[in-house]
Amino acid sequence: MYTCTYFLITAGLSLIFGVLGILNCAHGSLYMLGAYAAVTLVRLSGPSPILQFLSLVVAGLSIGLVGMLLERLQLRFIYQRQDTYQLLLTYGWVLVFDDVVKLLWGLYPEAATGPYKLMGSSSIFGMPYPNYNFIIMIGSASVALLLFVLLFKTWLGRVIRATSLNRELASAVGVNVNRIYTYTFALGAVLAGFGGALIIPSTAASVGMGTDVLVEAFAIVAIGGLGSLKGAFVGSLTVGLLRSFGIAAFPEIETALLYLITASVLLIRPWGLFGKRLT
Amino acid sequence: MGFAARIGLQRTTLVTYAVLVLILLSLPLYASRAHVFLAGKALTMAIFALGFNLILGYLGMVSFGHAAYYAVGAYTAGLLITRLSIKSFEIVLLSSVATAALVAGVIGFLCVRHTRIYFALLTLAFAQMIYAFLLKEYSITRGSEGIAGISKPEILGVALDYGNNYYYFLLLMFIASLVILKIIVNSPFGKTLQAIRENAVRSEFVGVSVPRYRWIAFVLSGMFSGLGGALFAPLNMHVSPELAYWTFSGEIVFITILGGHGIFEGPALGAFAFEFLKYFALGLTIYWLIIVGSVLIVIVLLFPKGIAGTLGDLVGKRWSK
Amino acid sequence: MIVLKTEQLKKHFGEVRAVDGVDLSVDKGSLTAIVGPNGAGKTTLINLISGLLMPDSGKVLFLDRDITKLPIHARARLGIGRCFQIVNLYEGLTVFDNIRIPLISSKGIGGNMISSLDAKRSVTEEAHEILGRFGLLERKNMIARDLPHGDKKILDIAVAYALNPAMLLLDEPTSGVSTFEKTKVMELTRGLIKGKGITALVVEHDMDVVSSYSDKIVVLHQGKVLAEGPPKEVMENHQVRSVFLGVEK
Repeated sequence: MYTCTYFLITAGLSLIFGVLGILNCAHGSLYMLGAYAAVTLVRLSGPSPILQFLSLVVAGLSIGLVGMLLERLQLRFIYQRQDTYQLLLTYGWVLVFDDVVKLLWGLYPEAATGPYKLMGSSSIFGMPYPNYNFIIMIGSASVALLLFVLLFKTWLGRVIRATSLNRELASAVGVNVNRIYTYTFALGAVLAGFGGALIIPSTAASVGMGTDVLVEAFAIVAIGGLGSLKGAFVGSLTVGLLRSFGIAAFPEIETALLYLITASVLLIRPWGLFGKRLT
Repeated sequence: MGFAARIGLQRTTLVTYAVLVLILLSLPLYASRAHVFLAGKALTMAIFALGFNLILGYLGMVSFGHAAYYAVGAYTAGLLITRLSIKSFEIVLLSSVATAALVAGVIGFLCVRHTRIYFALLTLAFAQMIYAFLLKEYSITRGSEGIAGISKPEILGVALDYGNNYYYFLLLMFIASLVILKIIVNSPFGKTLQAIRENAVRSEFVGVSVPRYRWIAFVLSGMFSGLGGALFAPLNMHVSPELAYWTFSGEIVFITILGGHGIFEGPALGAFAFEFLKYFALGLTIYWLIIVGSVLIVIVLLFPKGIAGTLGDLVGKRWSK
Repeated sequence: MIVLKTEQLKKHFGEVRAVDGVDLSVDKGSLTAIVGPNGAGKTTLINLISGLLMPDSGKVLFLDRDITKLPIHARARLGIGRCFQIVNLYEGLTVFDNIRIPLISSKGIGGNMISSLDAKRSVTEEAHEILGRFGLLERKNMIARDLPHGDKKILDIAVAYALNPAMLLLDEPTSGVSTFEKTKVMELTRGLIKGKGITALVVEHDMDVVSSYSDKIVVLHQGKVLAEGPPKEVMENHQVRSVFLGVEK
């Protein structure tokens, strides 16, 4: 289950890095915004199950809008600058969003358990298993599929991939790189936002969730390879398994273990398991 | 050659320094306890930032995990004072700085061959490991509670928990750090660091072992970070694992850029500006992060040279150190 | 006395045999030119000698020492200075600093953290002297980026020279330089190295320059040495002429 949400988040992060070359520190915050937005929308949509599930989707999409604004109004000015500035700008967003969330939704964790309860639970190996988790898996899988179709089967997807490989060349053949950047960032934001929206029926949205998720997302992307979706998937799988079994098996070093793996991968193969080799 | 020239300062700069020192020195006379505490915190952050700028401004490397060394320094000091009841600050400080140096030495050795994003991610990963350690090893570190009741020890026989003594001591350490770093930065070693920043490849061809210099600078900056943390522990009387969390690492990068990473004194200015900005913002609203975050965004977009850098430009000085 | 020797140096990039068994021998104080058509392996050879690349097989011997496995900075410390085809300076620093940095390195004071660099008289004096020789003294406080291109090339050579090397590797020193300035650059270079007894290994494309200034020419073709010897001899060599000029016998 963790794998799915992590995949959505890290896919977005990887995409943004692969195309724009930006490591988005605020990606976790977008995830958090998606979660909170979903909470509000689900509450607003009343008892109808269809509307409730729809709200989750809408919440995700709305974060895409936020992403678009961020890119157009601020991010595009610093593409030429050194890495430090991109990290700082996105870090600035983290600070702002942390408080915006507090401002709009208050300090306490917010839950919207509607869809969760609706689904009930089934029995797996004699233990109750919430059916909603299946929704998460199905939801993520469908998004992943959509993403795959978008990137590999559509014209837009091809353009995005081309831009990530060679920006100058893409621009030279007439691609409006600026617009592609905006769309890609928005897409990444949608993925993160949707990831956040999906989980709130089962887990409450809280204020620290953005920063916690971010550093883990960084770790996953570093392991899998910056800019690689395959890597994002493998990394998320690893972390998901680590989370599920690690807590049971070695609780003390479970947190540190992730970073140990990250550091090891970065030291031996800096471009990650599936990333492109940068000389 | 006069003392001023020997450490690379002009007469006017020395006078400016003297004035600022006098202001800081006399602070306890007219400021409230809260303000003095704030200034004290700013001094520890300034030491942290000045040391950090050695690798950010002078070497051109962004570490996103430097909070770890501050935390190591803080926790070492906290543990020595509370668990081992060590009353002598000399021992505490030396041990804390040494521990921070050791940790920075190991981590730095592994990280310095990598650059840019990979360096940032690596330093981040290691810092998170330290955070995890501080959080989980309850038996040693008391986990998320942190270590409390850290009292101010003595130094050279002077009790620091009396009156404003601790503040004066902080000021002294700040000035000492400033002078030491200034000397380092103006030395042949400092110039070589700049060379590595400007053109690492050419530097290799000129006989400079780039990884080695980077490592040394990394350890030095780790030592100053540890010093800052060790000085912070008795000031705050409490240390917690958040001191090693990545958001605090982000904060020090912010502070250094805010003050201006291209000018030697910039980061110190940034530390003071940040602490007072935070205080001021908190006074206005509980949503102070929005204000601070917005300031950061404005700085990054419009004033990348930071306060000192922009002021320096206005005064017509050259963008150099 | 032989300053540099390579023994059956080989470097392949997949199928491409960039350097394919090169035996080179360079005498002290001489100016040896390495020439050949594009892709002959000249730059790869220089990279192997200076340490940017490690050979697949073969040896590089400098002053009778096997330096084949040494990293770049160690070779530089032993006395191999290198200039670059595409100017490779400390663009953001002053001309003065560009020269001081190699001086710091050659004097071994890079580890000195306690003295003021500005107060180091030997560094200042030598920097001034070198800048004077290269005609850059009046512009010592200029930012390197702002220099005109020809002067940047000269500064590039000066930076390597400031290292006080026993051997200078010059990678196309006259490329991108106007005809008038070519003479200036070569006269300067030749004068300095002859004056100090520095050995020079020059990769060049301009055959006029090569024939006027070098003591010995080595012709590379497809990674192998095609011919070597004094300029006149090599220029008359039939194989060389056919490779370069497409002249039939």
